[in-house]
Amino acid sequence: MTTQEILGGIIIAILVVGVIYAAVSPIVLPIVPLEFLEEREKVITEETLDSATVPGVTFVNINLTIKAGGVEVNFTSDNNLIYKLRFEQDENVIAPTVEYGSVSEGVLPVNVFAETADLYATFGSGCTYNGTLRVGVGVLSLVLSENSHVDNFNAIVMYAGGLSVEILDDASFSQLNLKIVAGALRLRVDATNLQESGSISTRIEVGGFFVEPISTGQNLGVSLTAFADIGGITLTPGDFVVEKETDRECKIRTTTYPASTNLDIDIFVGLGIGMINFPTPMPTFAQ
Amino acid sequence: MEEEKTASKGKITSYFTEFLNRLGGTLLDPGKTFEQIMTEKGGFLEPLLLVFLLHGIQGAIIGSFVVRIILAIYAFLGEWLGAAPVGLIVSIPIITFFVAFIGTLILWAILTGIAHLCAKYIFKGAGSFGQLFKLYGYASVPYSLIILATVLIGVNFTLSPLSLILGLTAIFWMVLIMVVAVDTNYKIGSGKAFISSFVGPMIVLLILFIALWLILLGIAATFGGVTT
Repeated sequence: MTTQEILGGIIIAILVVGVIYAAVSPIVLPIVPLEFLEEREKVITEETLDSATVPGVTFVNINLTIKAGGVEVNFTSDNNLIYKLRFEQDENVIAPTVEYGSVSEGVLPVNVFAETADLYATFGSGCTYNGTLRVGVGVLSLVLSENSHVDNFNAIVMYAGGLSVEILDDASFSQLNLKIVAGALRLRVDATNLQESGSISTRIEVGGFFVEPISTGQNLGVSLTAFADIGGITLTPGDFVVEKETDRECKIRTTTYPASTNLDIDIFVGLGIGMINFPTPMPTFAQ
Repeated sequence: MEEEKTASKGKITSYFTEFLNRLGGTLLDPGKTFEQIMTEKGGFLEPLLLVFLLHGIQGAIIGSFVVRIILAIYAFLGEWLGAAPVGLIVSIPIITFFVAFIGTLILWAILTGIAHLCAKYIFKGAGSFGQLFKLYGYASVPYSLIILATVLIGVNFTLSPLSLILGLTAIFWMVLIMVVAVDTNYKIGSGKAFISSFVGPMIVLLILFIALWLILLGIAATFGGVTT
């Protein structure tokens, strides 16, 4: 065999190596182990409490913290249900803790904690709920429907993540305090009426907010104030009455404001952007 | 019958040996190898196959890198992104294989065209475009070093310096083979061949860049309100 033939053979060998590498490298040499891609077995933990187990509850004071993961809060028409908590966790993760105290003057304190979990929380329609929901890193989603009776909720993303709040027809709440250190807020108001007037106060240190097109009825007036300290706000006025509009600040209200029931929204962004009356570009936790 | 089979086998073995000889010869003694190819009046199929394999496989390797990155993204963000489109992801190396091949085909024709115009009309050489097109196909042989370099980076990123050396070697070697191809085809000497095969395309590239730059400046001035 001549040197040229040997060299030709080496070139063919390189081509073969190249083909093999292109075919198998994504499986044999993945950047992250392929187990991450496989549908991992989830450990499900469910905790349910109803009025048959703990009678006389009219207020639930909930203190919920998930360090990493997601929380989705919904309300159901079941007036006997106090809470139903469904945790989804990976294997070998510390189990969540759910504790409730004794009922005092109709108030039931509930503490929920998990290091890492996706929590689907369902609350009943027979109690009024107060409390603080915290997520360290992750997504917090709050859907307030006609079955919701919330007095005061603090929803906090402690470090980074997203917060999604939906206000639907005939929801009932007095005050929502939303706080995000770094991340984004999605706010959707799709209600022709609320059971009582409520207000939403939001503070985002770094990030942005997206207020979807607000849909209301004649009985509901909405007022929205937004301010970005460093950044900007983009507003699509639509049918709103614009009381103030600058690059970093805006104040708008519906023509029906003030009405028999009102919703006051106040949003502050430290560093970031805001879009008002825009369809959200973000996927929600439920999606 | 037995004799016919043996003769056919021998023919295939002989062709494969000659093919290996041409591959090695392109690297070690391109002048002599190209003279031989021109004398034998070989067809376009062999250089086309070389370009198809060398550049297509390199494209597929790049595609496999992209697959690895996409899989890594899905590993971390799959919960929000949903199920990975496995069919599409798996087909990425195949798509990049053909994109690289088609891109190289276009580049192959452009480089041959520029070299032909320079050698034939500026330096009054006597060769044909078809012959140079064929020889330029063989100039892709050192590209195998770039394939090797890319695989090495993929296996272990710390081998990047070695890959860089291999890559630079391949580029210089390809330029050298293109110069020899032009010289062999047009008999104009290595200096003029270098101008035709390397300096000419570089000047065209420079002109294209300047034109593109001016167009972009014009667009910026029209829509962006650029002031001086």
